[in-house]
Amino acid sequence: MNLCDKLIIPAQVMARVVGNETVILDLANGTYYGLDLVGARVWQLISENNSLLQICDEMVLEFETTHEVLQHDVLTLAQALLERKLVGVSD
Amino acid sequence: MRAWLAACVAGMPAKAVFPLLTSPEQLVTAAQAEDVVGLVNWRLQQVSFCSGISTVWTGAAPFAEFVQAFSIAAREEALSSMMIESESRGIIRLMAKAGIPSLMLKGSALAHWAYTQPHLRACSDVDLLVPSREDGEALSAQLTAKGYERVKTLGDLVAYELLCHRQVAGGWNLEVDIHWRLANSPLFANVFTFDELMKDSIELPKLAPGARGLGIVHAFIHACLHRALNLSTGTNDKLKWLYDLEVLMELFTPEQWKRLANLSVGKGVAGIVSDALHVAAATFGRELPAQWMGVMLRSQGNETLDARRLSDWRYMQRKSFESLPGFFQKIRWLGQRCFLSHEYLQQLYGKKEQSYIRLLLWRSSRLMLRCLQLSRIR
Repeated sequence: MNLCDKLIIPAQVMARVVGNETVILDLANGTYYGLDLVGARVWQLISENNSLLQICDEMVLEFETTHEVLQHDVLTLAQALLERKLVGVSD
Repeated sequence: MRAWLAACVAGMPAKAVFPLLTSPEQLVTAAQAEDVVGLVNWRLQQVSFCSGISTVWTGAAPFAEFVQAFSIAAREEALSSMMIESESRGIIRLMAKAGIPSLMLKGSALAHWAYTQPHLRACSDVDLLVPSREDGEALSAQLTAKGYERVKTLGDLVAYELLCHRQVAGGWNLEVDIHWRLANSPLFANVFTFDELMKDSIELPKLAPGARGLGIVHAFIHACLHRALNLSTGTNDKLKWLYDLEVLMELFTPEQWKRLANLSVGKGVAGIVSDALHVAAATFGRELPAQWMGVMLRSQGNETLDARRLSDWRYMQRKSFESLPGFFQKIRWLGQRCFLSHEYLQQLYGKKEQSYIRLLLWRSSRLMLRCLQLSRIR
């Protein structure tokens, strides 16, 4: 996976914003996950069809961090989501 | 606790005194009993709301502990909401394929248009209205082919619905209630026809393409009828149901208030609607439009049902009996009320091993107790 990739959310994965966290549910196996505020923002930008690079560009304006740190964190989160089949890589 | 929860849900916690020495667990339990965990959590998460509330905090634990307890409980609500939403979408697709028209009812619809987020309206099942029992049977057959199990219900004059359920991933049990009348009692079963309701129905694009729910005025009257039937069986007002009314009132235009009053009068349910309006308004501190309340008040004296006696089980049963047309319908209704099936009684009382006679005796004793208690109260 690289920063130019766009991620897609499969039909069997749903999410809800509950207060400060986003709850993600994989309907295929009933497993759920929680994302904090930063993770939730990444999730939202994924759902709006942004590439990982576009997500970093957007978030660097919103959070006090550098591009390098953000790219590393976004890629790490994207990889974790991919491993759990909560996202797929768009063709 | 209930008064504080109501004030909190309405966004005015300062209007009620926080119950002293209440722990976070106790408050969450009370909110769960009222089905408003999601709403309370949503309010507690609002920064301006929290800063107002935490300065006058009198709870038994720090305010943050209450916020944390509600966050955890609200997560469960959100998960359940997603499960139900996903299942509703599947059922809507199934019905579209089978050519069965339907309307989503109660929370299954309100969650997707009247509330800002669907999980704020707690739901435990999917409620659907179809045009006829035959359509209900057809849908039930489709659902059983998809892994649902049909649940035994009461006779056709006592329950105008079919129930199906199945277990989904994660051990969640999902129930689908297929109604072919708007209310589960001969008292209100024919107040509206399916065509009337469909004509005024609204799209639910946030739920699924092709999904439809009751129009706002019909949804309001339905909530009032549902409340009346709940009261008649000893189920008291939950904040969740009253808040549905509050949310709809918030959305009413002056024209819709007028239509609500006129339709309630025309359908002979002004007393029931007016009673629900008063209770919801008193709970959440809303002022009601005097003009339209007056219209309903003037009419309710001429109605067959006395809205002051909704909690009187014997009165409501008598009225149900009287509302049935013809001798044979009345006899069938009595039979269905008195002699429930063995399977249904086992489900109702959770006594799988008991014989039919023992369960009938158990039911009779409970009914007698209910009559005696009501007599004593009066």
